[in-house]
Amino acid sequence: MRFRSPAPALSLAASLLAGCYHGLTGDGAAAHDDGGDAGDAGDEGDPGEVPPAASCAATDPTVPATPMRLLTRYEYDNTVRDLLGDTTRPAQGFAPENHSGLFENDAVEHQVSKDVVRQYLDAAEGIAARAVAERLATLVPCDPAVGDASCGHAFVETLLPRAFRRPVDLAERNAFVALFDAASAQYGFGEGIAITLQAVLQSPQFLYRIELDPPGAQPGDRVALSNHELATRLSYFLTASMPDTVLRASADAGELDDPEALELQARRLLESDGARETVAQFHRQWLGLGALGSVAKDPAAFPGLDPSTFAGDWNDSLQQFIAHVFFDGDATLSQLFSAPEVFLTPELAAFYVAAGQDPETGAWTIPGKHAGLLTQPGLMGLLAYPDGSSPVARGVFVRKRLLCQELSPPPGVAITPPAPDPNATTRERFEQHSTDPACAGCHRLIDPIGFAFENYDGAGRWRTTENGTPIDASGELVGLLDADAEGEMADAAALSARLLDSRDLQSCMVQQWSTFALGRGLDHELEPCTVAELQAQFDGSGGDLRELLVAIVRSDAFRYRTVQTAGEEGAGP
Amino acid sequence: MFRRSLLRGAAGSLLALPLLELGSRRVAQAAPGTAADGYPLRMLVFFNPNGCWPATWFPSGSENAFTLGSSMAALEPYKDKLLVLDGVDMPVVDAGPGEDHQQGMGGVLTGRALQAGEMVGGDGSKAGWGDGISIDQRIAEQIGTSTPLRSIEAGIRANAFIGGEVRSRIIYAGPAQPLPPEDNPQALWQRLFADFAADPTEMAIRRAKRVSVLDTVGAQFDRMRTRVGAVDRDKLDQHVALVRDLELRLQQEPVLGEHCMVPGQPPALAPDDANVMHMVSQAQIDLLAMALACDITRVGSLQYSNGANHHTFPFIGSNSDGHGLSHAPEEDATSWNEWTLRQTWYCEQFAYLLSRLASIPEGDVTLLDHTVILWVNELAKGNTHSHQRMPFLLAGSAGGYFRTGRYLTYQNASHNDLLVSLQNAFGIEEQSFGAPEYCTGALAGLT
Repeated sequence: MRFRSPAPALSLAASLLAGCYHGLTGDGAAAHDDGGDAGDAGDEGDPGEVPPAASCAATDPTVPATPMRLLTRYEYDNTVRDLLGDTTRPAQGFAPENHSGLFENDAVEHQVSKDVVRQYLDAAEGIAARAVAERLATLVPCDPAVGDASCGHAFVETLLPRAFRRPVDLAERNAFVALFDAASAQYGFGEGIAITLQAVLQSPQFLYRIELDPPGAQPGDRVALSNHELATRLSYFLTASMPDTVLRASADAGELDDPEALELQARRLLESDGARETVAQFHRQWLGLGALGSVAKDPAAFPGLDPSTFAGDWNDSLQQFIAHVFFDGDATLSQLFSAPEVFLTPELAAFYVAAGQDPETGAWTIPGKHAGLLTQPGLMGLLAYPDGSSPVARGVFVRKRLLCQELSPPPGVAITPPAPDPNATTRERFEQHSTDPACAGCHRLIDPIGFAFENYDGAGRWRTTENGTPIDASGELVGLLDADAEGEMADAAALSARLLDSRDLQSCMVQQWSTFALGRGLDHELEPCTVAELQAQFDGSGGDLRELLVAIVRSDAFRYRTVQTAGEEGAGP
Repeated sequence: MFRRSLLRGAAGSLLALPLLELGSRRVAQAAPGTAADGYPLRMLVFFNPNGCWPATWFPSGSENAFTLGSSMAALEPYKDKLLVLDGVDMPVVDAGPGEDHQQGMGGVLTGRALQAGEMVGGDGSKAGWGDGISIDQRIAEQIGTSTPLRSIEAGIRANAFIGGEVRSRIIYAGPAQPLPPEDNPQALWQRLFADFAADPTEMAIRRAKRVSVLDTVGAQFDRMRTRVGAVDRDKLDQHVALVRDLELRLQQEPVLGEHCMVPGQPPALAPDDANVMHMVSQAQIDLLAMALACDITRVGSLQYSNGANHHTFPFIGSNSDGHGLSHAPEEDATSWNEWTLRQTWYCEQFAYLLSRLASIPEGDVTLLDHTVILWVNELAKGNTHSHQRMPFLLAGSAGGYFRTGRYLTYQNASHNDLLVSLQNAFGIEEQSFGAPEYCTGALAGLT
């Protein structure tokens, strides 16, 4: 049984993009991703849905079922930090998560393999050894030098509810107490603690976020999450880690059934350091910034860009900008897509010929127009060839990640990119797409967006000429649900403004943040009310992203689940 | 730089057991996958993406008198160990969903079309994962039961740019169960050798501790599986089966090969970084070869990058976008020359692998002779995205099973038959692998 919600055919988008598919023969250069969109990890379902407000009666009858979720690498690292004070980020060496969309916390795809199971073992041994060697006195409720059985048992009883994120039953407690007793008898107190920790860290209650059915629940029932399950969803969504003490106390007290109390906790967590981690993780995955670790540039095209540092610096630069908007600014979509700040290391500041630094924010002034996320040097540099800009990569990026659209595949496979021509501009070379009827169908949706970024070269530097010819950064935005926002634009700043004015970007942001929160995409057929409500609340808040996160927490999709079929005993994979 | 291992058995004697003794003991167990001289047989996969430039890849000449392609010159010393295959197609992968990179990645070793799914390929096509076990894992089921590790998946920028999705995975434990390659040489060293570099007495204690830990862990899985729904139970069952396999392997006292020398830790190298790809490659090959020599595993793979790559090769002065290069028009000699540079580099890595295996004597021959290496790609040719006339070759005879030193040409043979031949070489007698409708039996002329 697969949980992937059958994304309803994208009615509007499909008809808009029909030109990609019909009437094409032979050359399929069209939407082929030959443009260096390094982060083209795929995109999420349900793009281009017509806002479904009309189909929402009162309350959604169901919540799409989601399998239990395995901790991602960064969730694991944050959790052992908060659980045991281990800050070594051991999971960075684990195999990368399988994902079918943008996000690594995909409830269906992120699964273990033989190597990951071994990595859990190695990591658990390392964490346990460090805990005992470095922090034992702070972890156990006694002097470790005179640690005895009762101290060990008390340790187990304190550790388990935190590690498993819920009260434990007697059988669970006894299993780990028995392990501690046997291990400490054989190897001593400290080693008994270490071995117990190793087992806890490899147990399913730790590695998975398991949500249990209430007594009497039948398959298909829509049931409310328990307090501890809610606390767990909330903390992993907003802090990418286990519940903190305050949240756990609130769950222990049974307060979280009340949406007001849940919201209060959400707002509190949004002020915490953990929220910075969540925001950074979301943007890394949404924007595909992980690919920066793999990017290389042609040194002949970009002398002065230090190959050993530039990509990491671009990443930091982007994350600083995002945090600036989210935590120093008003966290609105409009600020995200218009703020002029650019944050640079001294090396990058020299490369971009920065003129000066704002003493208050630390933002640099660099030549050219800088309007929000899309014109950030690091993003422009990512969405480019090793030796030049890529209108295709940039156009596809906007369609897929910002508008949640899918581009239909071209029917042909013979792909020939524009021949290199040192005398032509990138735009002139790529304009072949619009004159070749085989390419034009799709590329009229892609290239006119990408051309608007032509003022930013393959490293994101502002330019007004290319090969001696003035840059033409005019473009056109078509193929939106929101026809009012369609039209021509003079450059990237104008494109950002058009996107901001469109309902498409807003609805895509709701989709992306919800997918990140839930480990699945919103299902426009099964939960139209949730979709409509989230949309309306985001709208009503003036595009406030922090309010969107709170709205997601309050949604039925977040607070309820569907009981799985019982299945046959012993049904294997 | 290798240092002699100081491995000691339980009795404290040096553990450098003659492998012949080890081999004959295993012959006595009638284990399949053993050469006539008693040494274990091994199987490796070597993968590089985006097709080849056929003009410089394929040989010219006849079966027994052929000249290697110009980018393949590094293999000249090993010409008599090669079976170069020309005219093998992958029709099975074209029958399913996905774009050509996706199809080729998920199908080249599984012999099956992809599952349907939501992973978006380079051109907007959608597909799921590979739909069956890959040939190396099938062979590992046969010959990988007694070794400390069932198999080793080593990568060289295999996860770069895209992480874990269908375009970065070729190895499958089963339908929709991709196995991730390890791109970090230090982590690979840890997996392969950390236990054997440890003091044996300490290691025996560690083993006992691990067993008691995993017993407790297994019991938690058993408890939780009864409390969750069907889908979650499947997840737990799949997970705990891997835990149990790990537990079993950890309990076995390993018997290491006679030429096993536990290597020192490789240097720290950023696995995704294009600038150090050549260093990662050498380190991974060294580790994999020694893992085979030590008999830590008998099945492995080396995956160079992936089917979505925009890689550059700065260390050989090739800085163009890889995907763009592979799509160059036929007449674009500049691009194909640069491409051939990379192809030559891949071939040099392959030759280096052969040289490492050939440097390890086993009886009258070498480890290379007890191995077969399958070199594959997910495409035939970048600018057509075709799956026809795949650049496939075998190196090593798997203990004399394959008649090497030849260039064989076929007319649109199905690659499933090649996979059948490989399983046959390891004592798996079935005449079908992957999708049965694409199998006619072993590929003619190999043995």
